[in-house]
Amino acid sequence: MQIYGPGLVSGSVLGGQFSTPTSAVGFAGCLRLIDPVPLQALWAPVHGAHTFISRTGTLSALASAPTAGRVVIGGEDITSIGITSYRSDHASESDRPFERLDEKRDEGARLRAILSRAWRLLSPKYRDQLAARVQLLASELQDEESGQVPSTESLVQLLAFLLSNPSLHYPDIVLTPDGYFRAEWHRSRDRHLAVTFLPSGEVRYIVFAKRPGVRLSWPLAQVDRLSGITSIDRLLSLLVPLGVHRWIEG
Amino acid sequence: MRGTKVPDTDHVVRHTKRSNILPTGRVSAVAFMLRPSMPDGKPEEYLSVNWLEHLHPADTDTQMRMVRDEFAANLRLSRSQKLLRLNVGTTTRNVAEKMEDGRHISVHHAELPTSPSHSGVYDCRPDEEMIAELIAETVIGIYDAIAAPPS
Repeated sequence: MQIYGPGLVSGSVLGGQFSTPTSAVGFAGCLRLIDPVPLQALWAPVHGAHTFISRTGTLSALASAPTAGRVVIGGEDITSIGITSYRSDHASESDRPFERLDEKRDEGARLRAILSRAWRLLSPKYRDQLAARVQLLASELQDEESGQVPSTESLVQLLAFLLSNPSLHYPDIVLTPDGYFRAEWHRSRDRHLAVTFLPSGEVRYIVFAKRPGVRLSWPLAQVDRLSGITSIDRLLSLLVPLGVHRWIEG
Repeated sequence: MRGTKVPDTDHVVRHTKRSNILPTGRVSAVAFMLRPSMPDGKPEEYLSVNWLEHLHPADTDTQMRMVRDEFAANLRLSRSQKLLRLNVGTTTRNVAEKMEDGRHISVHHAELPTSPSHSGVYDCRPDEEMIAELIAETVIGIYDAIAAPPS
């Protein structure tokens, strides 16, 4: 189970976890999960455990590791990162909250299909709530005369983010006018984080964060209000200096 | 061309879908976001709202009844949809105080043939997402888009 340099793995998988030993000295690498649709790409550093879902059920991964390590996908070791095929058992039909749907029928069906694939991986604490919320958002948008449809790629990014960060509180989830999923963690007017998931794997974020320990006569100056665009895997580390993790994790 | 400036003392409502009112009762900023492209392909220029004092100078019940009639004439409404009420001065001041560039958004009458009270919140770009957050902070009332039937 050694990784020797860059390589390609491919196979059929609906979702799973990959992990590498954090104790591996000098281990630094990347695993890039790419659905056949180029928009669906997720870079994740191969260090610790990460969870992913596949939008289409077919997955390709590019791995790069300058030193030895171990990769497990879908509960199976990837035996070598030369060229390897693998399959992962995924949720049975009975595990899925929705019946199989023709993804081309409509966007609502595609969203439900994506949720079905992620079902087994999502936290039981909020997966019912999440499924109901996505259903509501999709049905509302389809009722509108704008013809706007929710972005399935954006939903995949949101799910991947939630799966990769299981300690986060469950957020409020809304849809932007451009059809992207937006997660909002709101404690108060000065503790607010909103993250819009773009199909590219980037996120637009807005954060209002009260500065700890700052006492100024002008109360507004005690709150940082920042916005920006970053990659999905960098977002939380970017927000650490603002203390955001103290109120979005639990 | 922008119409009459709506005075700071006056009020406007913004129509939104129910999912933008979160379970806690908080209004999500997406209720105040501009659409990136309109049917003509151009980005939305201003945020559509309706000017309540244009319909009646003071009585809120009359204002809400009349504005609901306007929406009903133009949109396919459902009871779950909502109207968000704002005070113009409070909203514009909140944005000006909290935006780094001291942005002065403004509300102007933009009458339509089927919507005499139709107005627009202008100068929300750039940073329209941040401005939407600051507008959402100032909602002072949430009303059903269709009045509940008398019990």
